[in-house]
Amino acid sequence: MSRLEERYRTVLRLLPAGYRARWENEMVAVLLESMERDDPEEAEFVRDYGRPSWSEVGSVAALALRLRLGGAGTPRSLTWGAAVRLAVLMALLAHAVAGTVGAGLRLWLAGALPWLPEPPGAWTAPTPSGFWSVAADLSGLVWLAAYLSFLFGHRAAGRALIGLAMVPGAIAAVLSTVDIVGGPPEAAIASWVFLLADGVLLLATTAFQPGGTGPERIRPWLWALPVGTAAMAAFAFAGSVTAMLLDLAGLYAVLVVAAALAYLGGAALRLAGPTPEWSLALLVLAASTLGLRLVTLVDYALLDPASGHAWLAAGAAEAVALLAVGAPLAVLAARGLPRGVPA
Amino acid sequence: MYQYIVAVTEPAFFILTALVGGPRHGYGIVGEVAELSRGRVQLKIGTLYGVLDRLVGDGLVELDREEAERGRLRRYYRLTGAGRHELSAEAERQAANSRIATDRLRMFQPAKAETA
Repeated sequence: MSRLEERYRTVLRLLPAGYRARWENEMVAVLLESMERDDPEEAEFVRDYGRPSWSEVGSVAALALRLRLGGAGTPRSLTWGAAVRLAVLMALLAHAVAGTVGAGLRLWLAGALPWLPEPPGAWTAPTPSGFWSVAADLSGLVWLAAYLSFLFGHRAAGRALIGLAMVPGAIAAVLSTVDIVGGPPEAAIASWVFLLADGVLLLATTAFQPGGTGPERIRPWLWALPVGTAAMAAFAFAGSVTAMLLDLAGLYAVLVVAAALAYLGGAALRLAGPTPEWSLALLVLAASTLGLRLVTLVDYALLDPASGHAWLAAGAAEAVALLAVGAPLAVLAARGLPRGVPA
Repeated sequence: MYQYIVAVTEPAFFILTALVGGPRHGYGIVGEVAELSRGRVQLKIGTLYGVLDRLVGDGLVELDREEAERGRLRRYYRLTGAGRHELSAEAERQAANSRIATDRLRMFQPAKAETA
């Protein structure tokens, strides 16, 4: 076996064992044939020092992710795939609701919603103006479009929209890092962590297979939009009035804990039986949000002690709440997950 | 919770088309698809076997024969009756879509700039 073949077989180990047993030798044969050279010296060099291109490695990695998240395979991998799709939809719902509330707030402060009461004076003062600022605020609506795309089975459009919705976050991350405004770098770590989380979200959409349709029951997901938007708007208003210590990671933590409590309560009261997909999906969200919460606390540790301590305490409480709901979710998920090692 | 339908994505469309002329092995399909698409679609091996696995599973493509070429395995695949039917239906759908767009474009041409 040449070194080139060895290297490619190592890459193919990313694929599930059952799939590899069926296709590995053929895939190796095609790669070797595609890298053949007429010149014997050059052919020997390629056999010894050649490597599959990054695009080939990427295609195998993408295939592995698709297969392991429910494209084919064991009941266990199908459950994981369904759970990741649920988690993606819930994360997109949270983004869509936050984006809609943010855009609505912007329009309200700009006086574009005259039927609503006047915003409090203290709210209008710090609102930055200018094209880019307005565009960034309204760009939250792109998340709404991305959510609806996945709901109605338009996977490619949904992915493109997530990529587009990530642009303002990427700009904010760069700006917070280079600190072009001259002030102290605020929330630099949080900006990058949120961008990374959105990148992971984009990657997780691989669980939506080509040609897959949206969830079987779309109506509850659609109802979740106005209900979630109204709840978040009320929560944001109440939070600002009471000067609640709640940042975006904290808000997501509250949402995940509330969703998990509703789910666990429903299961305990036998209103709705727990399913492994939902337990896993909420567990994935709780774990991701806990990660976001802990990493973003670093920013507060860098703040001056007077205000930093209060934020650290609030953040720690949120982390504990996430751990508290995560434990029973993990138990339910472990009990319900089909047995067997993923293929 | 999710239903799946046979999806004719662009790589699947070209792979099915590449097999219309007769059975081909993996590398042969890659070359034929590149030629048919005039170089636009360069199938990666992971993509080829991801799609091929699905097409075989859906009964649109089947194994024709196996050969050993210089000690390497070569499996030839052929289009099934269902595959031919699926490709034909997809080609008609794409042609109909194309006609709709072309008619619309003809109907709503931008006003030409006035020349002096």
